[in-house]
Amino acid sequence: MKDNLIIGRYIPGNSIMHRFDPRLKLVGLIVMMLLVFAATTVATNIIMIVAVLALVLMSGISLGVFLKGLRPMIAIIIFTVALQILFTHTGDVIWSWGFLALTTGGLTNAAYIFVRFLLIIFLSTILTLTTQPLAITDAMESLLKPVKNIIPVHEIALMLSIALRFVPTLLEEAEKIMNAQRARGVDFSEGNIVQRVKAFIPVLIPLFISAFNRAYDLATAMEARGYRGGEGRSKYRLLHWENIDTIGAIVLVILTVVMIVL
Amino acid sequence: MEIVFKNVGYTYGLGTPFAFQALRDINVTIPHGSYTAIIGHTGSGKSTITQHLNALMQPTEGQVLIGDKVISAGTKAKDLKAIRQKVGMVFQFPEGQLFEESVIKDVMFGPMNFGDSEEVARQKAEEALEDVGIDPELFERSPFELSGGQMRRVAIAGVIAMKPEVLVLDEPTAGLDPKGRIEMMTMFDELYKKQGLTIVLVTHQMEDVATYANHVIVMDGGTSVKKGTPAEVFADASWLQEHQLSLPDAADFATRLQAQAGKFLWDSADDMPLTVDALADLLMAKFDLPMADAPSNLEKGDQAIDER
Repeated sequence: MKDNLIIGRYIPGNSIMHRFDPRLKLVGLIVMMLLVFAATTVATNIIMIVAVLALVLMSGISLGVFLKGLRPMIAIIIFTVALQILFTHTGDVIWSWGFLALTTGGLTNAAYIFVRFLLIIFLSTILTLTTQPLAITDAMESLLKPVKNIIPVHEIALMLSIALRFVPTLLEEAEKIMNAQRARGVDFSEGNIVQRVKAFIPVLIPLFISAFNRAYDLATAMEARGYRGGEGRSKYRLLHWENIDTIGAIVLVILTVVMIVL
Repeated sequence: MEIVFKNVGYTYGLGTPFAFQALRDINVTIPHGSYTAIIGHTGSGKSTITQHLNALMQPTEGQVLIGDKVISAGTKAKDLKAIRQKVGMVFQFPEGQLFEESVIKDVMFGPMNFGDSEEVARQKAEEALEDVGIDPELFERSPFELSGGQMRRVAIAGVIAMKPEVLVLDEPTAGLDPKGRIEMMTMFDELYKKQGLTIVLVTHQMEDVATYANHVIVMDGGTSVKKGTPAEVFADASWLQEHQLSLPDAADFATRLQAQAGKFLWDSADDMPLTVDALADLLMAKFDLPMADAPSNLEKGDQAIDER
C-alpha cells in the first residue's frame, strides 16, 4: 500500500529545488498557494501554471511522478468540478434539465477550480518530494521562533519530527500485523462494510499497543541520553541561507507583485 | 504437503520509481514432511520467500505450487483462504499480533476464522496451548499481562491451533534468552516428530540448522544458491564464507582441531560433525578417551548452555 503513495515521500536528488533552503520552500509554498487562490483571470492563471511547471522542471523529477501523486485525489477533483458545472447558474445557459444547468459561468468556474486543485497538489508534492521531513520541521521551528513565548515551538517541532520519523515505521508495522492476521484467516477485502471494519480490530489493537510501547521506550531512551526539553539546546542541523535562496526569494517577490498588479 | 517454486521472481512496487526485485529465478522444492531450513545473510530474500509459502505474496513471475493449488501473478484472493489454514505462519516477533482480551480467545481466533464452532475452537486452542507449554491458569488472563516469552508462546499456539500441515517459522527464537531458545526449538522439534508436520525454519543460527533441519536452502542476492542436506551445505567452509555464512560452532571447532592435529578425523564431508553430540562421539572414538560420568543433575538445556 505504501508503494503507491507518492504524497509525503522524499526522493533524494541534487536539483535546484533540493538545494533551496527549507524555510524558503515552506514560505514559498504558502505564498504560492495564496497566489493560486488570488488568480481569478485567465492571464493570472496562465502565469501560475507556468510558474508551477517551472518549479516542477527545477525539481528534476519527471512529470509522471507528479501525475501519479494525483491519483488518490482524482475522485475529489471530479466530484467538485462536476458540482461546479451543474450547480452554478451564471452566464449564458447552454443546456438545462430541471434544476441542473450547464452555463458558461459554471464551466469557467469549474475550469478555475480544476486548475487550482492541480496546482496546489503539485506545489505540495514538490515540497515533500524535494525536502526531507526533518528539514521541514527545522524550517517550521526556525520560522516560528518569534512566537516561541506564546506557543511551545520546540515541543511542537519535536513532536512533528518524531511523528514524521515514525510514519514509515508504523506503516511497516501495520503491514506486518495485517499479514500475520491474514495468515490466521482474517479477510480484509471481503464482506459488507461492518465486517470489513470489524476485520481491522485485530490490526488496530496490536498497532496501538506497539505504539504505546514504542513511545515508552523512546521516552526512556531520550531521558537516558540527557534530554530535558528545549531550553538551552544547541542544534546539529543548521540551516544556511545561500545566494541561491536570495535569488529564489526575489523571484517569489516579483511573482507576487506581478500577480497583485494584474 | 509439498511446496514447489517454479522460476519464481518477486518485485516490490512493480512499475513505480521505487521498484525493487527481491527474488529472481527461484527453483526449489520443500518436500512433504521435511524440516527445511532457509539460511542466508540479511537482505537475501528469506522473509520474502517465506511469505510466498502461504500466498501472502503472489509471485510477479513464475509459479508456486502449494499442494494441488497453483499460485501465480493473477491468482484471485478468495481461493487463498484454504491455503492459509494448511500453511501456518509464525512471523518474526509474533507476540506483536496478540489482540484479544484473554489468552484462550486469542488462540481460538484462528480456528474460528476458518469456520470452527466455539467449542471445537476452544478444544483446539487448549491443545495448542498445552503443546507450547502454557499453564491452564493463564488461559483467562489478558495476553498483555504475560512475559515476553509467554506472549510469544501464545502467539505460536494461535498458529498451531489452526492445525496446519506446514509450519513456517521466521526466526522464531530472535530476542529470546539461551534457555528460552533451546526450549522453543525443542518444542518445535517435538511438534515435528509428534504431528508429522512439515517445518520451514528461517534462521541465522547455524547450530539450529545443524541440530534440527534435514534439508537446507541457501539464499543469496534474491536467489537460491544451494540446496541439500546440512552435511552437503556445510561441507565447504570457504564457499559459506563467500556467501556471508558460517559453519556451526561444533564443525568449526572440529575443522580447526583437524588442521592442528594434522590428521584426518573424518573420511568424507558427510561425516563432518555438525552438532556438539556428533563432535563428542568423534573425539571419543578418534582420541581413545575414557568415558566420563555424564553430569546428571543438569537439564539437557542447561548443559547445552554450559557447552557454548
